[in-house]
Amino acid sequence: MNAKTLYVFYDGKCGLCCACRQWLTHQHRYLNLQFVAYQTPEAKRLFPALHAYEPDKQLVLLSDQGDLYLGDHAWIMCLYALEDYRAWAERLASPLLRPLAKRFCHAVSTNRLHLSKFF
Amino acid sequence: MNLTVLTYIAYLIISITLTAWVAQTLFRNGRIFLVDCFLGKEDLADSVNHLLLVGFYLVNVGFVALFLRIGIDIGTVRSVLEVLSGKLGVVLLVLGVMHFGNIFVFTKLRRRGMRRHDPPPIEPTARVDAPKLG
Repeated sequence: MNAKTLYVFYDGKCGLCCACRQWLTHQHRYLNLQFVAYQTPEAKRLFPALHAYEPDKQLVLLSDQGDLYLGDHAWIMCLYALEDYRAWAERLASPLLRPLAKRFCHAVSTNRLHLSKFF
Repeated sequence: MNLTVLTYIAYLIISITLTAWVAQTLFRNGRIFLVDCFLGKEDLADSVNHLLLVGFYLVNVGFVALFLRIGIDIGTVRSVLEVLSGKLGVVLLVLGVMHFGNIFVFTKLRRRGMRRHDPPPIEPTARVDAPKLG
C-alpha cells in the first residue's frame, strides 16, 4: 500500500466518535489520519459519492489512493495506521478474530448515540 | 584458607566469568538486530545495546552475589565439587533464562521496527476515485 493519508469520515454529532477521534489524534502514527465529519461540505468535496456508502450507519475510510474501507474494515485500518496498534489490526483481521471484530464494530456503530451519553 | 572460602572464591570467579561471556555474546550479536529495528540508526542501536548490557550485568551479578551463601562448613573436596556444581547449575539456568529473555526483547523490537512496512491486513471494500484535494 502506497497510501500516506487516510481520510476518516465520522459522525461529527456523535460523542463517542469525537472521543475516538481525540484518542486517535494523540497516538503515534505510521500514516496520516485526516478526520472529516461526514455532515460537512469538506466531506462532500473530498468524496462526492460519500452518502451512497451510508456514513450515518458505518465508519467510512478512504485512502489517498482511492481505496475505500467500510465499517469494521475502516476500524481495522484506523488501528493499522497507529504505531502501537498495528499488531492489533493484524490480529483483528485474522480469520479467528474477524467475526468478533465485525460484530463489535456493528454493535458500537448501531448504539453509538446511546454510548455517546458517557462521553 | 578453608575449603568453604575456596568454594566461595571459585563460585564467584566462574559465575562472573560466565556472566561476562554471555553478556558479551549478547552484546556482539544483538547489535545487528537492534540496528535493524531502529531503521539503521546505529547510534541509537548502540546506546540501547549498551543499556541492555548494563541491565544484564546488574541482574546477573546481583543474583550471583545473593546466591553466594552456602550455610554449611565444607570439609571435603567432594563437597566442594557438589556444592559448586549445584550453585553453578542454578546460575547457568538463570543466565539461560535471562539470555532467552534478551533474545525475546530483541525479536520483539525488530518485529516492531519491521511492522512499519507491513501491507494492510485487509482488502479494501471497494476502489473509487482518489479524494479530490485542493
